[in-house]
Amino acid sequence: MNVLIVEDAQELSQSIAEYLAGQSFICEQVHNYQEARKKIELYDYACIILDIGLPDGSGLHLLNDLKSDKKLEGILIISAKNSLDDKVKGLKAGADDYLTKPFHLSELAARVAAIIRRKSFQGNNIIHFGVIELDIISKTARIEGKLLDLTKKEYQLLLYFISNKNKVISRNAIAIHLWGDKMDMANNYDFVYTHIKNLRKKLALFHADDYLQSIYGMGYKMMLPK
Amino acid sequence: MKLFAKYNRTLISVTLLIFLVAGIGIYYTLKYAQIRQVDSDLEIEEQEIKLDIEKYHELPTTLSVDDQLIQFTPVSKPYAQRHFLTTYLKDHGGEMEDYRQLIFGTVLHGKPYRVTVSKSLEETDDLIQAAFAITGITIMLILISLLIINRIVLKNLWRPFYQTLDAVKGFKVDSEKSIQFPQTNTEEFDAMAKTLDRSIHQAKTDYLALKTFSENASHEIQTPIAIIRSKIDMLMQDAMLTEEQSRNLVIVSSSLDQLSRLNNSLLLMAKIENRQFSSTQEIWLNEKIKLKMIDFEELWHMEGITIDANINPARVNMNNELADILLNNLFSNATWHNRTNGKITILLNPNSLKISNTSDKQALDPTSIFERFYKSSQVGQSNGLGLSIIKQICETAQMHIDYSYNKEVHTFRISW
Repeated sequence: MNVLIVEDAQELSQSIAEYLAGQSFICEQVHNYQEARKKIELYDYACIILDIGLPDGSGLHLLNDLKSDKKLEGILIISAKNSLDDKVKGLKAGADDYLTKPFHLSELAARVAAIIRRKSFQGNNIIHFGVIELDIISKTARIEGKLLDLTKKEYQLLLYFISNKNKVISRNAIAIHLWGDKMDMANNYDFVYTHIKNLRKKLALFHADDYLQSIYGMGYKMMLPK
Repeated sequence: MKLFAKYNRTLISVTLLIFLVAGIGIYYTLKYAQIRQVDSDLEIEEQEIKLDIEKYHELPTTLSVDDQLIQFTPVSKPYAQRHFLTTYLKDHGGEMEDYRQLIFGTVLHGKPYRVTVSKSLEETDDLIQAAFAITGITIMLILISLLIINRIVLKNLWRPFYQTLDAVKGFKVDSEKSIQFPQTNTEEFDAMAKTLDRSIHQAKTDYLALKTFSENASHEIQTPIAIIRSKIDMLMQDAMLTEEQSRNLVIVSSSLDQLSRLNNSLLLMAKIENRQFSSTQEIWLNEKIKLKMIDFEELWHMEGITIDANINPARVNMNNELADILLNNLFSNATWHNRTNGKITILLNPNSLKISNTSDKQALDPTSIFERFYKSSQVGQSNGLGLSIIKQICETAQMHIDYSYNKEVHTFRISW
């Protein structure tokens, strides 16, 4: 899967590229409008990560270009602006999703994966990870054909981990993913812990609980056992 | 009082005064002229009578005409006086009329006589009255026309002023539309329009500068935070970290989270202060609250928090985004500052919203809880701005908020 990163802060785009590479994405980075245009004309991308705050307003310009050229790439806007207005404007202008800076890389990865899944025309509704099968349409999980009794949040959590397989995800990232701006305080990691515990218990019924590893002090990681 | 009314009040009183004075002046002038004219006629009569007597040596037989009477009255002593007199006499028709008399003395055959020549003022009086009436009617007509013309003309002249007033009323500093002022050839209104235009332009420029500043600040601060965040996320992936390094990394990570949240809160407060949330609309709070409750359901379930909700229709006029933030902050506070298996009570009425939550924490200080960075204790990593934002939003929406504590229950009450 090809991903184009259009971001003028090079340190940030570098981190994004490195992180996504671990998710089997092939990433290219450009830092301004002209370079972006060149790449888009030459290649097709599954997803374009676009910093709408590019200097000289060219971010929005590029978005309009993409839409008027009827490009099929999924577009994820990343932006420092947080207002509802800007989000609505961005989505109306044709973006598929809008993520405010600063964000966790794991959140970015989950959003990119979601966009690509939605844009995929291959009817690819099932995600496999080890013995786990996630059905994107029905939002259910099965192991060896048997349905896991997951709550909505537990399903979200599972999908989040699988979209960031082999990556350590911090508790804060998990909390923000599950509860967004209802998350006022950081010390509610108890909640995160409870969710993880419950999820593990349900995976344990199928001996898949060791997929979900606790990384000392920092967070959790989903990976296939060796 | 309206300008018209003030202007008319002065106009009418002065005009009436002038016309009154003029009217009286006219009357007495006419009267004076009349008397002088008649007196002059009487003198002519006097001369004629004297001549006649000299010539014919006898009292002239007088043709009594309707408007003239001549009387000869013998007197004992020669009549030395000569005077004019206005008096009220019976005329030939038997009616009482005003007469002007000249009384003088004359001598015939050595006998003194007093001669009284009387001339009727009736016809000239009628003339004066007619003249006076015409003058009076003319004055009334002038007055009425003046009033009507004033009303019409002034109304038209003032129209651009009222149009300008309407145009300015609808002015919003953050709207992209510019105000069109009506073009007049009236110097004063054009001057006013030009000044208003300039002021509005200045206000818009200043506002834009302020808005741009806070938005640029947002971009400038968020970018380094975003970079740090991404590097921390990458560092976390390192499998070779020691326990100590992991510990430090976690501390760096949560501090950055705190910084980021603080920054977001401060930016929000700056935007509210800069009136970037000035557009308002009618909002049904009951609908918003019901949606919020669905949002928080899962959290409440997990914490075993019971909800007692009494939601009645309530309509407010405020900014939509701020309403969402307000409700979110209120609900978050009630949830996160609660205890396990605690309770939240929500009561919404047409003019008030009350949210109460149980808590292990002691009462907050009502006088200072809404100040920035107030923290009753080091409550986790809350940044102490949540309540300030709530208060600021309430102020912007012209709502009143207060806090009370009773038996381990914290209550926030908002009214409008």
